[in-house]
Amino acid sequence: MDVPSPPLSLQDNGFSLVSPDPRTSKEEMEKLREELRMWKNRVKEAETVKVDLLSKLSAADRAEKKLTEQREQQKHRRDRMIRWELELFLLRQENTELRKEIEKLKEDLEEHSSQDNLLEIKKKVAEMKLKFTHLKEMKHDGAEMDMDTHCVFGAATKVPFRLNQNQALLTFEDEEVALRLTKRSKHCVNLDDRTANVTVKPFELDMGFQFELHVTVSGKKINVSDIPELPIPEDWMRDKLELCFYRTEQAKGEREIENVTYNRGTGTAVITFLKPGASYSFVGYTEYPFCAEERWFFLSVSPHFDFHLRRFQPHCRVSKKTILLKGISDVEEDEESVQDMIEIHFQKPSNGGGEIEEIKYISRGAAYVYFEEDTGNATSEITGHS
Amino acid sequence: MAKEAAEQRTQEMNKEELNNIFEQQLSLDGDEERAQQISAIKEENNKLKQEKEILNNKLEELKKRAFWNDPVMMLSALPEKKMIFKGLTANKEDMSKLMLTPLIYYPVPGGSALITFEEAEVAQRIIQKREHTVELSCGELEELDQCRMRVQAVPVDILLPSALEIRMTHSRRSILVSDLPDLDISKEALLDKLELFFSKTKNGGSEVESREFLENSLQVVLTFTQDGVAEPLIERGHIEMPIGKGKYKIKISPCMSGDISNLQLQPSRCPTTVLLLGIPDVLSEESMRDALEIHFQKASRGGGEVDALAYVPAGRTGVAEFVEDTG
Repeated sequence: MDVPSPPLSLQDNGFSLVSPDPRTSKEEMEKLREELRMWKNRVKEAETVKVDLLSKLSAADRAEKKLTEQREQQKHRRDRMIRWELELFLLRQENTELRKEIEKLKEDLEEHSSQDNLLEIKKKVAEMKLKFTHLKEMKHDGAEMDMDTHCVFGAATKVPFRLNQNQALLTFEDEEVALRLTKRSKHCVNLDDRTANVTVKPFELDMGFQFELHVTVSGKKINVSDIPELPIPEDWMRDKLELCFYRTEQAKGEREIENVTYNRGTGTAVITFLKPGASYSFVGYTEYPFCAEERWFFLSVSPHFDFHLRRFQPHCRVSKKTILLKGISDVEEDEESVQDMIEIHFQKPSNGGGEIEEIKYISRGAAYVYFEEDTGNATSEITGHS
Repeated sequence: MAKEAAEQRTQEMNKEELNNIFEQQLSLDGDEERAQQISAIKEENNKLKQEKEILNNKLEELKKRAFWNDPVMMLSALPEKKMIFKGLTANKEDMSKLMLTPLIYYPVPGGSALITFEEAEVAQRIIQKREHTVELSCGELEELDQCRMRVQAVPVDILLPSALEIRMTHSRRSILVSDLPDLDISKEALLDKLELFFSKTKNGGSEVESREFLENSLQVVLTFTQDGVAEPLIERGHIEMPIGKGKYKIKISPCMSGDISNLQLQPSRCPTTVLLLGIPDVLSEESMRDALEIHFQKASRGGGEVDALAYVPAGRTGVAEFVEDTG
């Protein structure tokens, strides 16, 4: 510890042992007492300074301790932070994992419940061309003619099938033969100069249905949609729609309107014309211009029709007499001779075959054929050819 | 000096201490924030775990009802329909589409006629020409006073389904019985035997509420009074039933019904049929018919071989039958 001034040597202070001389005067005593007082003060001062210093020292010590503590705390804190960061990181990872798993589960559920709606059939309908054959009936105008078109669509019994190259279809007269050949599955066919290993594949024709679809297309009504929502009362809107649709370039009165039902919420309407048959002039049109509030809009128009399904019956299509041959290897020989050789092979009972009713072989590309209902007739029901 | 040094030192440390306190406060907030974040994520994770559990259970449930979810099983449970290849070729476009056989009853207004030509080209030509002047032999009049009428030829567009959606549901309490033998007993008797057989628990059945033949078939629909009877029978698929002296293996299928959930129509133009409009009521029905046929058969008039023709006089309305043009 640094003390400001060097220690006073006792000697320098001029202290020396003096025995009290009676001759010392009172003055001298006073002087000595004064000196003592001074030194006592000095000692007190020095003590104060020392105390002061000590307290400052201990304050500094405390401060240092505190600092060390703080540094310790900081270190703890940092460690804690690191731990927490790690924990957070892991939790976030778990979170992402869980979310992914939940997504997958939702997808699986979707798949499974949509398989439940394998019970849902969504199909495009093959195009049909129609022709007029005869007049069914004739009525007098007095009679209530709704001028509706009544349609009945039956589910056709023919099933399209795609035959790929190096494949053949064989129809046997006897179910047993077909079954036998399918069981044996692998066959070795003689093709002129070599043999081909063909396999009989079981069929996977899909689910078929039988039904009657009844559709009635209205001769007096049409559906309108995509009607814009305008800030005018519903009543007025209905009037505007009527005005829009009753005009026609051609025959006057053709489009006189009997009734308009308008649904503001869905933006749809049903227009009923007075004259039966008026709706047919809209066939083929999908849009109709509409003017309101000095703006032009395009409304969607579509036929107004009712429908219902009758006698609905799904079934499992199976092929008992026709088999599919795969793996007839590609050669230069022409299609017809290969087909003949296949036929010859599978006609022989020694090969497990039997009487063949129909055969088709494709060496290149693909062929599209129909399977028909097996009613026991040898000839095709549809075209009458066998 | 020592005193100053000590004082200075203390001051510096105080400053640092203040800084640290400040920092500490900051990170305490940070700590708090951190702690909040952590507990928030923990909570979220717990919720997610619960959700996962629920979804898992649902999936298990669905999987358990294996029957309806296995398309192969369901398909094989349906009654069989035998198909055969007889040599008929198809169009590539038809491959995945539903094929329908149409029967249309189309209204024909008075004063018009429908003609179906054998050749589509002829029909096209007639429609393109649009206005046709048809000679009418008015019988009693002299040749110089031949009557003529002007008619319009327009195409016929008929709305046909282009897309169809059907929702199938199966009746929980019904079964469809097929592969029934064709025996020498009346239908009623067969129904009685079926009801008796399926009313017995030893056969897997229960009280029968109703039984009836499906229209035009040898298939019977049986409806039970309770739940849980039909499904195990359907899963079984087949059952041996004694009828008279013999035992027969019959198939048990689910009873499906269908509802249309969506139907879209598209206009289809008839390739060989023409609609004639504006025919005045000046001749008898038969005479007019003949006049039209004669006129439109003449190649010189752009006509051709006529397959079918019908005339509806003004004041009457007709219903015409349209079927598929298999050309």
